[in-house]
Amino acid sequence: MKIYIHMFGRFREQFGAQREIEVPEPITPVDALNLVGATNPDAHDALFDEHHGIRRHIILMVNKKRISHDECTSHFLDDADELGILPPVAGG
Amino acid sequence: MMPTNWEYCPPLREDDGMTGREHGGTIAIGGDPCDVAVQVDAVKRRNTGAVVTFVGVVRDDGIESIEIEAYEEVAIQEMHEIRDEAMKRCNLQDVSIIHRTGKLPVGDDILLITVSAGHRKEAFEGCEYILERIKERAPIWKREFLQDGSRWVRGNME
Repeated sequence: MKIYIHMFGRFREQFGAQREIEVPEPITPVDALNLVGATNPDAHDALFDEHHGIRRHIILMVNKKRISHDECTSHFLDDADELGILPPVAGG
Repeated sequence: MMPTNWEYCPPLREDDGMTGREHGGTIAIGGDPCDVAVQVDAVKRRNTGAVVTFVGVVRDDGIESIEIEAYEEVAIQEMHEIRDEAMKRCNLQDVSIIHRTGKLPVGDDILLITVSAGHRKEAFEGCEYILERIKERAPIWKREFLQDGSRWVRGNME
C-alpha cells in the first residue's frame, strides 16, 4: 500500500516536503519513521535518539490528528494515510 | 489634557456581552500586520473590566529577519482549542489570537494575543496561559536570516 509522508520546518528542508512511499502491511507510524530514517544517517539521527526512541519533542500526526509516541507502535496505518512529521515547534 | 485619540474610541454596542455574542475576537494566521486597537475593541463587552494584550516582536539577535512557517490547518485548530481552554479556565470574556507567517524584519510583530475579562487578574492569567500553550503546541516554526545565511530556531521545548 501507499502512504504519504509530510514534513515541516527544518525536516522539510532536510528531507523534502512530501513524498509517497510504498510500504509493506501492516505498518505502524514508527515503522514508517524507520523507513524514512533509513534513507540517510542524518534523517535517522534527526528522528531517533541514542536509545532508538522517537526524539521526545517530535510531533507525529496521522491524517492531521496528533498521535502519541506510545500509540506509534500500536496504531496501524491504512492505505493512503498521511503521516505528518513535525519538528519541535517554535511559535510565539 | 485629554488624549488625542480619546474622542475616537468607538462606543460599546448595546448588545455586547449580555445577549449572546460569543466571539468578537479573531483566530487567524497570516501575513498581514496586526492592528492592536481593532482587536482590543473586538474583545470588549459592556461588563469588561480589563483587556490584556501581548505582542511578540522580532528581536534583533544579530539577525536581519525571520521567516515563520505554519502547518496552518492544524495550527488554527490548535489555537481554537487553546482559546476555548483559556476562556473556561480563566473566565475570559473573549479572545483574539493572530499569528503572522512569512518573512518579517526586526521590529515587526509576530503574535498578537488580546483577551478581555471582568477583572485584571483573570485577563493577565488568560493571556499568559494562551501564550505558553501556543509555544508548546501550535505547529509553527521560525527561521532566522543573518547577513551570511540562515538557521532554524530551536523548538521552544527542546
